Amino acid sequence: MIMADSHIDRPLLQSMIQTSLLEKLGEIGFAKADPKLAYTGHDGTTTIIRCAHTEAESVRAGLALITHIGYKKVHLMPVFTSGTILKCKRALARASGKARYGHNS
Amino acid sequence: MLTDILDFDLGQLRRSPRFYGFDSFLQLGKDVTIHPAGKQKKLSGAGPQPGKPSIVFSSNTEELIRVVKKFDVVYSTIYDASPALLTRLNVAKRKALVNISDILGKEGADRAQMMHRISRFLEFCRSYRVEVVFASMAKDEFSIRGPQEIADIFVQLGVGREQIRYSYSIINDVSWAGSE
Repeated sequence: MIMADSHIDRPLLQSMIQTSLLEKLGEIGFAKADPKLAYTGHDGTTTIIRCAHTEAESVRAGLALITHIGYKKVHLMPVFTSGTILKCKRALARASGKARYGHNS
Repeated sequence: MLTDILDFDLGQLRRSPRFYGFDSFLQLGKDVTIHPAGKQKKLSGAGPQPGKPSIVFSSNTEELIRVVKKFDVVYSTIYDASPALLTRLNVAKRKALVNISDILGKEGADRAQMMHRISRFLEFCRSYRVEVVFASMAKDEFSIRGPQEIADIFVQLGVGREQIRYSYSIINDVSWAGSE
């Protein structure tokens, strides 16, 4: 879940999360984890990050250390970790109270 | 019961402590008192208050050693793993404080250096049997990190998840040092 003081659009979010994680994990750690934004919710406050399951813990640690995206203060809060994107989407739908879960954007 | 200490008015919070994974929040200055060690304390004239946990802070370890007994929690802002300080904390049964803002408020090499200092400090606290209180001391809601998120960071530095949860729970057990 992304908490920010204003809306952040997907391309900026993707590039900033990748830049921040690269800084936090280092080049070797980033290569092992290979984090990617797999899906972003329509409201822009939720996103699914896909990464190597062996490096999930270090990606979560890296996300917790992100305090800014550009000049905006953010808090990237991990709410659910799963082995499949589908389960994550279901969890997102449950969290936002929607019956349907979205498609990849 | 997991509790965090915040450094802003709790009325400004838009979400409940449960949202972040805590049971309650304490406000610095209102529910928890904080005092500088050394001469500044004498000037302000404010000491620990009954019923409220008190924190004393300084970057000078010798000053902290002198006032350990008067306060509940000791915050060495430079995380000096001094055997003299840790022995005093152990004997006086006082707690050390780790301020998460010291990590989140820094960037790059400064942050890495601070994480190293804190992990070494925690290692020494463990060997001297000194209990550690974790607090985010967040100045806004974006700086609050839940116990799970802090555990994600500190697991990488060799601290267990249970230890982190315990460190967030003991601020409720802290009694006023002046009542002894």
